[in-house]
Amino acid sequence: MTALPGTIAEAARLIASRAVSPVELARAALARAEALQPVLHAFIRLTPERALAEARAAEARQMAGALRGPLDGVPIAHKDIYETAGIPTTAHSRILEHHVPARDAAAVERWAEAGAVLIGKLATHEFAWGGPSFDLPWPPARNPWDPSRFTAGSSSGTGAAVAAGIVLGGTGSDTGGSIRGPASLCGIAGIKPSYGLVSRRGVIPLAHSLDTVGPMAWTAEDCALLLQPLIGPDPADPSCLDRPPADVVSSLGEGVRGLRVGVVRHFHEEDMAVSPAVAQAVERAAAAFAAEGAVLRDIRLPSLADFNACGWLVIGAEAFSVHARWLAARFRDYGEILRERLALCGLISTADHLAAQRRRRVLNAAIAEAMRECDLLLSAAAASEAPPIEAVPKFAGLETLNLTYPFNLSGQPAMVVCAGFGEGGLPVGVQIAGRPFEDALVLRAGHALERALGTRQRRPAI
Amino acid sequence: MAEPMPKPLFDAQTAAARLPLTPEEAERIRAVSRYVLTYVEALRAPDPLTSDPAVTFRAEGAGR
Repeated sequence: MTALPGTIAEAARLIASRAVSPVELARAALARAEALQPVLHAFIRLTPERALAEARAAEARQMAGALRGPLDGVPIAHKDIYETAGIPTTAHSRILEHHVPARDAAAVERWAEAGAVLIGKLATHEFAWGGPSFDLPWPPARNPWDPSRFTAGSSSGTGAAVAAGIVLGGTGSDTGGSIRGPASLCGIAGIKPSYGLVSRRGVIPLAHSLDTVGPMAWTAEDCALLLQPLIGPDPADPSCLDRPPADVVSSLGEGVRGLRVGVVRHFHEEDMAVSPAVAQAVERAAAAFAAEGAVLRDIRLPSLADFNACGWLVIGAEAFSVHARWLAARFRDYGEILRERLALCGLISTADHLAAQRRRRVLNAAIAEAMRECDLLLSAAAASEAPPIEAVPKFAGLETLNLTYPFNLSGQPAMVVCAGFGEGGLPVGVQIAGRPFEDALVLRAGHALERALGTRQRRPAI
Repeated sequence: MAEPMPKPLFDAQTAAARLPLTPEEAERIRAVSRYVLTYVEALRAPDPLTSDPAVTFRAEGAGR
């Protein structure tokens, strides 16, 4: 079996030089996906017919010297909340078990136009919020660093498939941290783009005022390559802004010299307890930024508890509005975790929701004020290394604080990159946030940090 | 931490939402309703009057 190249950047070079065929890569990805599925459960379904058809088309372009760019011929996969024409899109739920869309989601279309090869549809927490669940038609994805461990969610299958080297990139969605959480626990990179940068058309919603879609990959550089074709207006998604397309790739190698990085230590030193490895990862990242020439200072934002209260109420109210009809008609078709979480959300009143939205504006203004003094924010990304999957509580989002909500509420770009390894060799990420629509700067900082820390050489042994 | 939602209010709200809960489910969910009520209380402090929810989130330029 041909092994996949380690990154999209490397695969693109090999494809461009005709050292490897997209068909070989697709076959290798499909074979690895099948081999690891009994252990990782990363996929809801594989799409071999579409994969091989797309790979043959890419190979024809390769031989004709007509490649479309760095994604042409690269094996990818989509979280199963991204609609795919003629291929079931289930949201990992019995509710949509037989839902076959007529049209691809915008992001699916754009990657396909760039030549990426769809290997399959990835596991997710049910409707991007309920998991890990063991009572659904498909089991939850597991962490390639240790399959007894949690991937985090909701983009659980993407985290597992990328970390295991089954695909070189995939889509996630991030409403409260669903790209950044799995990126941290699975030891990969993932970016929640600015709200309004990428079309959400065809992506099953969780909470409309917070939902963002974005890429996950082994490196920040690969995330940039994957994000680039997704950027651009879409009249079918009114939240997607009509701006000149940003270039998030060209500046990747420019480093962080002279950039002002605010370190948000109080999130993990005062507001919530984190594992020693998480605190060490933030300090390691801060030291690496300083060594690369960035100017660091401590930054205080409002309490993480305030962001958490606001974020949970907004997600809860909006998610309940999405699901109210199904909850009334098909309550038992949801998994226990999601139906009980959503039932709890039925207790949020309109006044509570609007109070949360009002507070959201105050919190956003506080972040904006803090960012007058810095270009980027560095903070912890998750409370700990991956916990055992069986030990994740049903109401985990209520019982612990969430380090990623602040930048969902504000709409800022935020990414997670791997910053080291903790207990049992499990990866630990850090979070880098930038000003709205400065996604390129966030990716550039993530790329610089990965290079400085050297974490990208170590892979799961699976 | 707030107390769980009073049972009559809980029952009324879940009925209004047409949630077909078993008694066991209702008790589990009512027990964790204290988290939601704690969040609600945390947001009750008065915000500036200009925090109009209609312009809470402006994608372009938010956070600047």
